[in-house]
Amino acid sequence: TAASSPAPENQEPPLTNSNWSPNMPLLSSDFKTHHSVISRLKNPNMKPVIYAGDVMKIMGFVNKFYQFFDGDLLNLSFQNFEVGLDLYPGGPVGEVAGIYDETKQRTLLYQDYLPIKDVVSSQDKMNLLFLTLLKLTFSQSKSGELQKTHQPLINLDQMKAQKKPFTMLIRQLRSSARTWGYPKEWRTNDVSKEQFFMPKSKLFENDEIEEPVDPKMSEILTPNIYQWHHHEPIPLEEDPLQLSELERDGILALKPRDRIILLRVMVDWCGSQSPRIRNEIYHLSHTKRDPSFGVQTQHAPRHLVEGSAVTYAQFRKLCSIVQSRYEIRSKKKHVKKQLSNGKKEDLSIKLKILEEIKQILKDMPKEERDQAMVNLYEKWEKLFEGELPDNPLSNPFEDEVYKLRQQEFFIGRVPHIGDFYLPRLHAYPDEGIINTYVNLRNLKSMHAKCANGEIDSLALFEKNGQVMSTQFKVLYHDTISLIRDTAQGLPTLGKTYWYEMCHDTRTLKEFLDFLDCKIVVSENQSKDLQSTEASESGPQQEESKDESKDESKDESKDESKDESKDESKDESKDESKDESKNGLKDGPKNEPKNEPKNEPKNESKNESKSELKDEKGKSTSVINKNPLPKESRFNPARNKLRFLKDYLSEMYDILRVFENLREQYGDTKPSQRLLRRSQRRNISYGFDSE
Amino acid sequence: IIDPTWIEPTKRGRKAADYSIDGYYKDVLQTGKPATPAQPKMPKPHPFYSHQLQHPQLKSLYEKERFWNAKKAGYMPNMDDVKSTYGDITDEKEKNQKLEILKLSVSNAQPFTEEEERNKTEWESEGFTNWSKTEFRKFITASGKYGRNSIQAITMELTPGKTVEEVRDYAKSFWANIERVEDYEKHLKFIEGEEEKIKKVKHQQEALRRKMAQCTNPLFDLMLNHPPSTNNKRTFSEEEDRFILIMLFKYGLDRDDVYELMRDEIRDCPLFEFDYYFQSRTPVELARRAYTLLQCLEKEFNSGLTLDEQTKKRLQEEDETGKRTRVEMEKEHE
Repeated sequence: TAASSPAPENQEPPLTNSNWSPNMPLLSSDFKTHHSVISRLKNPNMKPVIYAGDVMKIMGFVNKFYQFFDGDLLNLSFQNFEVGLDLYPGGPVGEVAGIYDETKQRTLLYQDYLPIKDVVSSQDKMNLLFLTLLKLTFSQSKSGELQKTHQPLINLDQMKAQKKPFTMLIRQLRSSARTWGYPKEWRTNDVSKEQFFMPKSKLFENDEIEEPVDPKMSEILTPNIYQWHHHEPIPLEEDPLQLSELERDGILALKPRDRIILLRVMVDWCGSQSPRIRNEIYHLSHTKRDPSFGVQTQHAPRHLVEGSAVTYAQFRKLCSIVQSRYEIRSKKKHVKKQLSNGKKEDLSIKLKILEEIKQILKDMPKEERDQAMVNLYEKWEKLFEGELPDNPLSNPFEDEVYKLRQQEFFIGRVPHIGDFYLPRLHAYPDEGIINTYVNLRNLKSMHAKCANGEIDSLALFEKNGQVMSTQFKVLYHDTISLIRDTAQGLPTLGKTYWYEMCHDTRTLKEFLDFLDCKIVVSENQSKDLQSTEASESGPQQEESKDESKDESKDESKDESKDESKDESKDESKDESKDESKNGLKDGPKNEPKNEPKNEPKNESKNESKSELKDEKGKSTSVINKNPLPKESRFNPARNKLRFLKDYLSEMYDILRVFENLREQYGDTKPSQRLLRRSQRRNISYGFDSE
Repeated sequence: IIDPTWIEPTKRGRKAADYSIDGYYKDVLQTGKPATPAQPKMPKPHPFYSHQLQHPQLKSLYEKERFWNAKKAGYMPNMDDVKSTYGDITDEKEKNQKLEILKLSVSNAQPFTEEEERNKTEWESEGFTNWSKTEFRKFITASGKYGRNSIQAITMELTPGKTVEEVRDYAKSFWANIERVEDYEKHLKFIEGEEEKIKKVKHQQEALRRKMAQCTNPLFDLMLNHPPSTNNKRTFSEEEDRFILIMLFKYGLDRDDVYELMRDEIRDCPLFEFDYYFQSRTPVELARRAYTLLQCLEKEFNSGLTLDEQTKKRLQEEDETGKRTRVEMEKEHE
């Protein structure tokens, strides 16, 4: 009965050709033409942390495959690794033997300023983690089926009750680890890189073959046979895995640096050998549907990639599309007939909901409508059912489709700078606890509650807050340099791409102030920014196109430059560009060819200047307070930094409550009696403060 | 994968238990010569192996000698000899016919003439009698494994017995007279099949090299024109696929440990630090994915590469005809 060619206004707007998921892919190509300048972020709290990637990798593994790990491991903080394994941030080579204390004028170790009980507890956790990974790697029981419930392989008490928990497993590990592949740090490098792969080593025969034996088929398919260098593990006597103390003392038998290497490589081995983990990975990689953006190496929550404002805007856009879809559909002849016949019950219910929504919105003043759209989320959600699997505001951690490649610790990606991470565990198990791994709306309300004191440390204590990481770090990842090095095939061993930006709420506050310095813009630019913000994503994309154009020129220059000088030069170049631009007004844009030619001159002039400035800067303060360069291509970076700042300042209140929880309650487990007493104590608290 | 040179050992079985006392003391009791004198027997046919590439007429010489020897011994052929000479024949009539022929040949047998004697000694020195059956089998598998013209490589598989020169001589003779070898179609098919595999890898290597040459930055812009089938569930990301191809190019397809190296590279590369899927792939799984990707790549360059070979040949031919005409023209001018 339907018309053979529906009029355009009768056609439902498509939903499928856009990504409406609560997650966004993080592509390496985002940074293809960018160049990061680490000194831009220089501040006293910024420290290179060579082991940060390893710690995050292990934390990510525990977090993703939480059902195999005990609760005592699911509240690990980054700091637990540092204290438990005796690792200190700050050294680019990882050989820092403590934290220098300005006031005491000496280097302090963890045991110098932490209660010994805390140090031991972290050490125990590290050994428990090690033992769990070992057990998981070798455990064959129930390997055929998928483990659905939280069943840790071992807990702290069980470990302590055993006399020699490690012995047998370590021996098993030693016998197979070499074939599983040793970590790069534990391989011998007696052959140079070129020798290793380019020229084939050890010629088996000394010359090629002259004439073919079969004139009909004259091709010589194997002119020679070669032997190759293999990756050789270090000699047995230097192999950390062969240490006999390992069987008795567990992970602590090794040197601090080797401890984290072993834990990291255990994650690799476990991932590729453990039947249970492999089952789980298979399950997660063979979900019934794919994310709408396809299978990408990694992705992260949309509100962290694009900022909450854009996410809400996208949600509203989606709502209007869905609305018109329903409206157009309900007007169709055959649908009308079906509806009047009482068929299509679900559709008529949905149409009723839509009417309700429209009614509510109609009575609203225009200014409040946007927020109201979001507040009506529950109603919208019902309308989305059957139309699309998820929406920009759904919980990014909920759907299994996203789990395997989700970057749970990711908090922001800034063009020309890099990525930021906030590693905290417990993203998946949902036990009615107060969790920050929720959808955007809930996160906002949780922040509000933390900010106004509705959720305080006691409330957290009552609600098992200790199952989450109570401490945190914000880390900066120089993804740009990493991608650049990888694309060019440069060695990455021994390089640090990770920097600590802060390690508690006090330093977080400082970091937030620091971000302000970077976001500051001149008056002209603020206009630009406003316009881009107002029109959301559209013009932004255009801008990024321009950007990539003028950057491709940029890049060709950068590449020719010496690696080691890159940093300082680029910084000076940024500034010099400003000056030249101010002088020429919009000159360079009209004559783009001139730009690269002008650059080197300015650079050489400015270099000496900026160096002087640098030295002066060092004597007065180590904070690089310079805002980002004024060029318009840095506007998206400023934008993203603002999102990051907004997010972190919201997280600040939440993280502060967790920090208080740790300070006030430590590891005490809430019990009925204790809870009653602590509630009473809380009253006197209030009294005191008044 | 079973090594092609592997020959399955014979089944181990229980040896027939021999409890006979007479049998046990046989050696002790029967010290003298057998009581009954040996019946004259039909001499066995002289062993003749086609792979030894001896003169084809040598076989008939041997047969002649055999019948002569039988006649000398005064032997009368029977049904058993028909079986050993012509194989199993089901038709009774034919059997009897053959028996008659045998009887005739024996009774008509003549000793070698002088010329035949000379031919025999000459032809016997010709072939490759020192090539045993197992050596021949090894030669065939090695010819497939390395390609028929890779004599040094083939020799390596035959090392204790044969030198490079011996193998080269044999190979030359083998390819020149392949029709004379029993079951040569089978052997040829095997060798050609194996050679195809080597060529395929070379082909893929070349396709990979050309693909890489097209990209300025393969980590970003390497795109397959014929991407893997969409029917299968995609588990590797495109970036991971690109990395696999880059690693294949870096180490080369002919390297035996390329997938172990790839696994290590993936673990070493901080870009995939949090990519638990990619990091958990074993060398076997990586090899499987690489195989798929290489086939896609091959599709892309298939037309291009074969065309190259053809045009090369055509160009060569054109060159030659051009030369010839030029020579002819010069002659005319003279």
